[in-house]
Amino acid sequence: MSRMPRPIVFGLMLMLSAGLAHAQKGAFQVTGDPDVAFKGKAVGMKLVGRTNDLTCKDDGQRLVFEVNLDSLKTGIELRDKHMTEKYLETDKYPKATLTLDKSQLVLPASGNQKGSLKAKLRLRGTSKDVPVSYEIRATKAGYTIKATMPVNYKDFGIDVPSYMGVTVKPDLDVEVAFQAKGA
Amino acid sequence: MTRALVLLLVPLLGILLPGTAQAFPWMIKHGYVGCQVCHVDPSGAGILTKYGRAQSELLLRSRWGPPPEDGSVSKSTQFLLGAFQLPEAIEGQVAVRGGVMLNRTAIPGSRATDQVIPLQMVTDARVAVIHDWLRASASIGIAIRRGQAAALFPRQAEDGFKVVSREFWAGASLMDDQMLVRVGRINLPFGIRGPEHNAWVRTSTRTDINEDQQYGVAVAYTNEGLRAEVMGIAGNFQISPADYHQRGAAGFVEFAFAPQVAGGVSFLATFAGADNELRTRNPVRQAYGVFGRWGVTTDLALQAEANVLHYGAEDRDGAFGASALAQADLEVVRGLHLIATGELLRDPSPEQHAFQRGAWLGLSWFAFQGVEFRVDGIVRQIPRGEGQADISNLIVLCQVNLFF
Repeated sequence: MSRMPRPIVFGLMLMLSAGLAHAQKGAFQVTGDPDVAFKGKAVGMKLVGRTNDLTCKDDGQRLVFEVNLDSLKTGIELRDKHMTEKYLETDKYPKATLTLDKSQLVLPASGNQKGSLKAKLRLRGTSKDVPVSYEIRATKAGYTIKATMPVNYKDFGIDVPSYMGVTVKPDLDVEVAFQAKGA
Repeated sequence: MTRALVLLLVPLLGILLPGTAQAFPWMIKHGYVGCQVCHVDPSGAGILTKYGRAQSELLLRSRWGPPPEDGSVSKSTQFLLGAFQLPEAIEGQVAVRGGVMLNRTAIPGSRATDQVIPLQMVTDARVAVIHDWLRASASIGIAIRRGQAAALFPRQAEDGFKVVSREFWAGASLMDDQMLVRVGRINLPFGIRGPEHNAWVRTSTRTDINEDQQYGVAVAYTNEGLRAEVMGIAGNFQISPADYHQRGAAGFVEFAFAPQVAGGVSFLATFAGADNELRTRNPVRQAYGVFGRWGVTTDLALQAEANVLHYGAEDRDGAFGASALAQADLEVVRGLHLIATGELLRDPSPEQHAFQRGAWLGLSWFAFQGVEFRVDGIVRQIPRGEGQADISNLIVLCQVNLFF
């Protein structure tokens, strides 16, 4: 087995350590106890589904947020069962992802920053651009982030949820709140 | 004097009895800001929709064992526990409520009196039609005591067997079920419609759903954040003579500020040739109120209502009054509710100068499908006038409510 020339090994180690240092310094991470909620409407009722199962992957160029859809709870077990099994089909599509270019996100050095961006939502196997409005507040530990986006579930091929004559309207509001660190 | 007061109080106590209502405004804690999801009446109470029947298992009663594997609700949620299949467009319900009331009345300066009164409150059959745009609902039942305002044959005695029909109406559903226009004998839209249908906020406004329904035309509107109903009142044609028929209007509008928070206002104004309760001529009654509901958590709900009252008549000076109620409903474990209620009343009468005060502490257990056991302890202090000690009432009310 031939040995790699020493200068090349040294160069690779240098590059690797530099890369690791970048990753450790800049990787965007969700911390604390995130809250992801979707708010739906029907005649005579307001429906809220909620989970704290939110993660984020940062490849340096893009942020990919993932929500485990099986963890969504609406307050009624049977409704959760229908939602995940019949409408979201979480056995085939267990996660919803939201992908955005990191360059679009303006993180404030201090104070608050409000903005909006386009992100790609993948839900039930279908991807679609959605507008996201966000507010970021710089904190000692990193950032507190709140974001909202309108989602029409019909855009993602989801059947109209209906139960004994009560149907959920297609327009949902998704609200996300979490702590984060990194940049 | 003392004996006369006791005789006066006994019939008054009859008014206290919870009766027909199955309306649960605390369902707002589960995001149900409107009533028509679960009730055929868009402002709540009475016969349930299929969805409402399902919720009686999913959210209301105690759970014994896991839910069905196939993701459905039990057959027992259906009409008569599923023993009888109704056509798709028909809803049916049998409601029976009975119990016993233990009452102690204490008038300062005389011996307290105790009574044990068996109660038959509701024995009703209800039917509704929900087909395309058509909506209709009717009830028929028997009443042994009271219920005369709902009696189909007005000559029947106050205390005696009566055939009663509390509501019957037909209407059209419009705007994707957001609007219902109906005509018939209808619950008056005012304030919070709950199980304590004879709380002072209901009796003082005569909006008790046990028997205060009126004939008229009503328009109800509900969307995901707003519910409202306005009714033109033509009178209760089940009482006579026609001078007693109250005419006017009533209504409310409630806005949901959040999935678990709602607030609203109500109004009622009626006039008649004579008042069959107070025996006045040409009475004009008015009530204006505010109310709110808040589902603090999925276990705790708060609600409150306050009304300003005015009553005037040809042979009686006009006077203002007020009624108010505040209630906390804590679901200790699934299906078991601890209910604390405080209430105030000042009759709109020139002779009334102080507030009556009341407090309820109740335990309600939805033990099985369509079965509720409820016990209430009720204390009421009724002022007699300057320099005289209050009359005290202590009531323990035990009841069983069956609705299949």
